[in-house]
Amino acid sequence: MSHNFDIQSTKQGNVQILRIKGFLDAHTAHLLEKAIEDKVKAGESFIIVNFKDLDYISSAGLGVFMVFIEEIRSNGGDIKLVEMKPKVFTVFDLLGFPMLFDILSNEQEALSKFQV
Amino acid sequence: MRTLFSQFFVPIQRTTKQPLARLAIIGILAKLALDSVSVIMPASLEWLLMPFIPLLGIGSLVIWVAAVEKDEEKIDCELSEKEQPLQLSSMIGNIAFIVLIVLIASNVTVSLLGSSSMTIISMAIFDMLILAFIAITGDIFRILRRLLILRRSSSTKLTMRVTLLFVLAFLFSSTLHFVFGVVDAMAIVISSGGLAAVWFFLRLNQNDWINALPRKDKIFLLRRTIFSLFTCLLVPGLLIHDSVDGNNGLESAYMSIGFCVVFASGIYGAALSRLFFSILFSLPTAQFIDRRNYEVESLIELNRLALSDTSIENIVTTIMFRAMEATRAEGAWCEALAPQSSDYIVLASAVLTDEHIAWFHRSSEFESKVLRSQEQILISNVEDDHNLAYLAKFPQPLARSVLAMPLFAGQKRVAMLVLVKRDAYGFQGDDLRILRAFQHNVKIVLDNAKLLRESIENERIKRELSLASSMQNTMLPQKLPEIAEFDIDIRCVPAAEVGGDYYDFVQLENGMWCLIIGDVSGKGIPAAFYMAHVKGIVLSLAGMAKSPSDFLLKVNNALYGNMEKHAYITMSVCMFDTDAKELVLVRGGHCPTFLKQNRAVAVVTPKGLGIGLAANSLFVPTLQEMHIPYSEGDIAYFFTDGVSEAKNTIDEEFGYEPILDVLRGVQDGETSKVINETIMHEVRSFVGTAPQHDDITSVVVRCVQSKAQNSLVTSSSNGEYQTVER
Repeated sequence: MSHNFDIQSTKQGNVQILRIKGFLDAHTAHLLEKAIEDKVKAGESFIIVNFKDLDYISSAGLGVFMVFIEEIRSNGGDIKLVEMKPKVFTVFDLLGFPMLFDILSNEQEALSKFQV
Repeated sequence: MRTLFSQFFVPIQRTTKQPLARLAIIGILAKLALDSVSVIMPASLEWLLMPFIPLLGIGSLVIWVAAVEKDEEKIDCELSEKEQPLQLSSMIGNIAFIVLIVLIASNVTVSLLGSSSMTIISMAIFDMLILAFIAITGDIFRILRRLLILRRSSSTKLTMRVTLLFVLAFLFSSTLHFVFGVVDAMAIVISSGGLAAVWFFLRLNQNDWINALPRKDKIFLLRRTIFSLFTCLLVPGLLIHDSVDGNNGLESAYMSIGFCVVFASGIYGAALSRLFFSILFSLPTAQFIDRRNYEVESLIELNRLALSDTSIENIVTTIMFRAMEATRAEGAWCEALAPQSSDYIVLASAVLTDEHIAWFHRSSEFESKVLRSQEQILISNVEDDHNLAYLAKFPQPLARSVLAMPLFAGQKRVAMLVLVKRDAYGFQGDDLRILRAFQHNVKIVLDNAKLLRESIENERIKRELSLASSMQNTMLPQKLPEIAEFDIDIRCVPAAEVGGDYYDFVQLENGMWCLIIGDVSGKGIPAAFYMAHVKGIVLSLAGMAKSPSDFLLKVNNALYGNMEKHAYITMSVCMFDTDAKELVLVRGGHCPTFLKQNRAVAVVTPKGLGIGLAANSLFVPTLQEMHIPYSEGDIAYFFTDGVSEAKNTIDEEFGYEPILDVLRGVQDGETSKVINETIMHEVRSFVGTAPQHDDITSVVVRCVQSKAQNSLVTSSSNGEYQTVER
């Protein structure tokens, strides 16, 4: 069960963009957790996670976003989730994530929300 | 003294156990009786007894030899410790010593009583002496035989037979000469005796075992042999001296026995001198033999270690002492280095104290050059290197030569073994070579120990997991409650040994039964741990909850902030309100519920956040409670994502559709059990040989009877249910 999972990070202004790819499950969740943790430790508060190339997310993968959201929001920042495939969105939706996170259609929308 | 005593009795004791030897003893006792009679009898009749006396003695000896011959058949290849050549040879020395003591004692006694006239007492003493000598002769002969046949060859038997032939010739001719006065027989006596000794000396060439003895054993044996040889020469000397004095008939008869003793001593002398020279010549090579022995022994010990389940520390300690022995080092220690820091842990040490070892660590030069080396290092003289000269300057000089050897397990260096000597140039190139051979074996032992430890650990974890699994099974309801009007069937298939799926039946404050189905995020032990936590919370809160939504928010309140941040629980609660004839459904982030009513199948997804994700301030406003009136034949299906996300071999998901299809196809009167079995069958045949990666829980609830049809059921055409906001 070694599915591919990859994170590419870029920075646009003061916004950190993480593009995640492949399978996010119990085996790969720690990779994303480490990546976000590094950003948060480096003082980043504005984070966009792009799900465009993410094929699958499990319950353990969802948990990752809960780990840092409080800290980031208390710093005045946010994590915004963009470009989810319908199947991935269903998983977030079932759990009620749309009530907790900004789930948007593209990076541009998220960036403009951060600018406001 | 005690050992000498037992040494003397062992041969006699062994003698009495053999039938032939018993005959010999009877013969000797008969001779003693004859002696006694001869004293009482008038001197003129003494000649009648004369032939019997030596013949009985000689006969006894012959029978003895034959007994020994028979003894040979019993010897097999496996020698007991007492029959090792070294023990056998040293036994000869002990026995010879006893003979000497007895002889001297008897000589003193005889001379005190007057040696010229044979009194009955001196005769008895002499007889006892002969008796002891015959017993001892037999035993020494047996020992020599054993030594001879240690390296048995085709000629071994011939050697023994020919020797025996010489013995018989000697006995016969000496009887003729001494008893019957045949003077010419004396030449045969001397020649056969001499030939027997020379023959035995020449044929006793199977002394290879001496070469294999350690040096200290050789020196021990050499001393013993010199002593035995000396005794062998002394015994006949004493006897001849005694016999020459006597000149009457009776004493000349004794002389023939005396000659037997001389003859036997000659044979021992031949054997012993042969032994003596063999040892002498093998002494110079003793050191190399010792080394070879050491190598074989180390190999055996290391093999033994490899097969036992001893700890790394034990193995390392044994290796250290072995290496010390091999190189004759004066001190040693074995340490494990922490990979990054300069800390070290002393695993074992000999002679050297912690203080000494700390002194070695004073110089970073020594640490980097020697203690962290990946290869063997030999420093012949620390004073050649000014950086290391401090090692010779501890209150007492600590080490002038150092030999270091890293120990490996797999590719990993697990420890460093350091051997030291106080003298410069104490270690030689040969020591390095030995250690290198040694290192290879050590690696095997350590590898083995590591593997063994890992497999024990795996076994332990496996056992604990299976224990956890059986404990978890007891947390799920062992028996489903009887809920009026409903037929319920539950299947639960955990993925690993323990899982995060949870279901239960509880009664709320109003006494209504609730089905709870939940899933803890993640898998394995952490998930199982939270599941147990949830079970406790559910049981303690259910009785206080007024409704399913009240129950869920109480659970969320209890769990939020009390779990790791990334952990959460999804849960659906369905209350069977048999008074209002409705199912009351809330969903905390869990999978949807499927409903079949009036032949229409729908996916029901009340709003609600996963439990533990948000505080009640956000959780409560977003929680939706649905009231679904039911009637006979209605089916509700609850599951965990293990069902809908079951994957086949090409990673496709099972999804909702196949389940909905099964529900659509359900015929009237099909029990929950049948329906659930059909769904599980579909899942199994979809998954095929792919491994199950998540727990599966599948619940079918069917309304079997309802007194009043509830007309409030409202179903829109697209299958969406109207919901009642809480």
